[in-house]
Amino acid sequence: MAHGSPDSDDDILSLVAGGAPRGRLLFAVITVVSGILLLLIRQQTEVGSQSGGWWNEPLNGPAFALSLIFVSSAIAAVVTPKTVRPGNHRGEAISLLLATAFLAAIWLIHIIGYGLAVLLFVAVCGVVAGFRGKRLVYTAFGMTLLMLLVFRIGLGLWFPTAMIFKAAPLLEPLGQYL
Amino acid sequence: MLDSLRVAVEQVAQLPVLVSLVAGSLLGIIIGAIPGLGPGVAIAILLPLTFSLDPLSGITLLMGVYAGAWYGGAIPAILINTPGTGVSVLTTYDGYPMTRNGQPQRALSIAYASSFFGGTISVLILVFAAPLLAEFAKNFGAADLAAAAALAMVLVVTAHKGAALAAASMLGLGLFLSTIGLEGAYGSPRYTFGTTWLLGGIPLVAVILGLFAMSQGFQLIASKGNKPPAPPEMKTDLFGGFIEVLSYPKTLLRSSGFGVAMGILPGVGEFLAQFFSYSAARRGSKTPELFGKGAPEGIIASEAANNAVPAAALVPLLALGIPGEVLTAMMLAVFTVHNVDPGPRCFQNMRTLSLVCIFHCF
Repeated sequence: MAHGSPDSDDDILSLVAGGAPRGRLLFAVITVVSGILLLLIRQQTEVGSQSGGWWNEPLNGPAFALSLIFVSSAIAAVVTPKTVRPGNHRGEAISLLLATAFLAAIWLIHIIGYGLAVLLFVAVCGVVAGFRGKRLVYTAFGMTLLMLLVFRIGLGLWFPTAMIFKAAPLLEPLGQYL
Repeated sequence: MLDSLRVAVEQVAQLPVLVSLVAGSLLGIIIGAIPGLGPGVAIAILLPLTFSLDPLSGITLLMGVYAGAWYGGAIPAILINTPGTGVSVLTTYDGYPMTRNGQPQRALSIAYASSFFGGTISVLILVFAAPLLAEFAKNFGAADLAAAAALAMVLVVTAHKGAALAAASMLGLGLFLSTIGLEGAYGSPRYTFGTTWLLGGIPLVAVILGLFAMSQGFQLIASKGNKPPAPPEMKTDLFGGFIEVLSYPKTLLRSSGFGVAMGILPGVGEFLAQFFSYSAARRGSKTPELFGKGAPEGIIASEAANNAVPAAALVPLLALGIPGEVLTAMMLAVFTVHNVDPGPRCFQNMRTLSLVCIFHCF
């Protein structure tokens, strides 16, 4: 982000302190979620013994934290001015897609193994980033190889043998690296 | 005191530690100089890798990244008007106009001379204040720590002018996440939803990777095509700034002082240090009209304050276990995973390690 010249102390402060909040909808969602979690507080915490003192009650911490989130987000959701945004939600869509792909890759590890799951995830990232053809193939395989070398071979990160390697006994030795 | 200093210097001078320090600092400068990447990503990615190093080398590597990135952020701020890290925003005000006036090497030279002096002043102050802090920390009990934490929470909210509600909301979220898992008084589970994998709380390394590395990665992938302008040609004279900076001793000392003071205050951090030092430099300058148009004092104010903060920010972190801002919160995680327990006893029991950490900010 490029910047021009400051005219006043307020200009400087608004830049370094981040300026006014945006995201009215996000504040509303946070308010609802924290409200639900607050309602669940009795189910999600246990009651301490009376001799321990009220200040040691297990629900104190979450109650304080959730109340702080609830109250501040609720006020922010009301006072934050509604901003009219262009209809382009590309950034959000990409983030959602990549987050889903990441979760899918983690889930796939026990089926196809770490290496192939990483390859798929990196390939999706590459496509989203605009890589095509040979560049996509080189990037995906290069990144996967790097990840395997660093984590599986260098750091010895352990995963249980994936289902495809169990199904094909000949490939099973490969499973400890992939 | 002198014994602790000597041992601290000996520790830093060990080859593996020295190599980690140089590698971390270089990486930090490079990462800091890449707009949009930031030291948080580098620390998040490197954190799991440091498990295989001995604790001091691991902490040193990440401390190098932490401290180096603060300087690296000034490079794109000066050359292409795009701060590499958030803390270099004010450096663009005077650094880039100086570049446009055909003096990029002068601006860079002033920036790293100011960074050097700001960092050095901060480290010297803290090295000599460490014994006092150790004495002071002896008196800290649970009630004092709770009061310090409450002060930090108030400062976090009040420091975010115009975004106090958002800051309060995120503060609550952080507090809530820390309550998940088995609590200390009765050992009962909180918000684990019947699962066993949340009993130990939210895994720190996974949170850091998700918050800093993954989110930044997603953002970078989604923002393709925003290429920064090409940097200007550079001449070789890059050291004149050391002399020029010394011709503004008041600005240099005042800005470093702001950096130290704001760094020590938990929850305030580098942004207000920058703001106060830049505003004070402009008010105290004989040529305030030059600010925003390439004033060397503007660069000095921003960079000296920035680089005085990292060492100072280690004080609330090591002495109270309270991080001042995002990066020190990550450093708290770094210390925790390497079995260093920041808190009042840290300055007492691990005085050498505390001094080693402060030395890393040179």
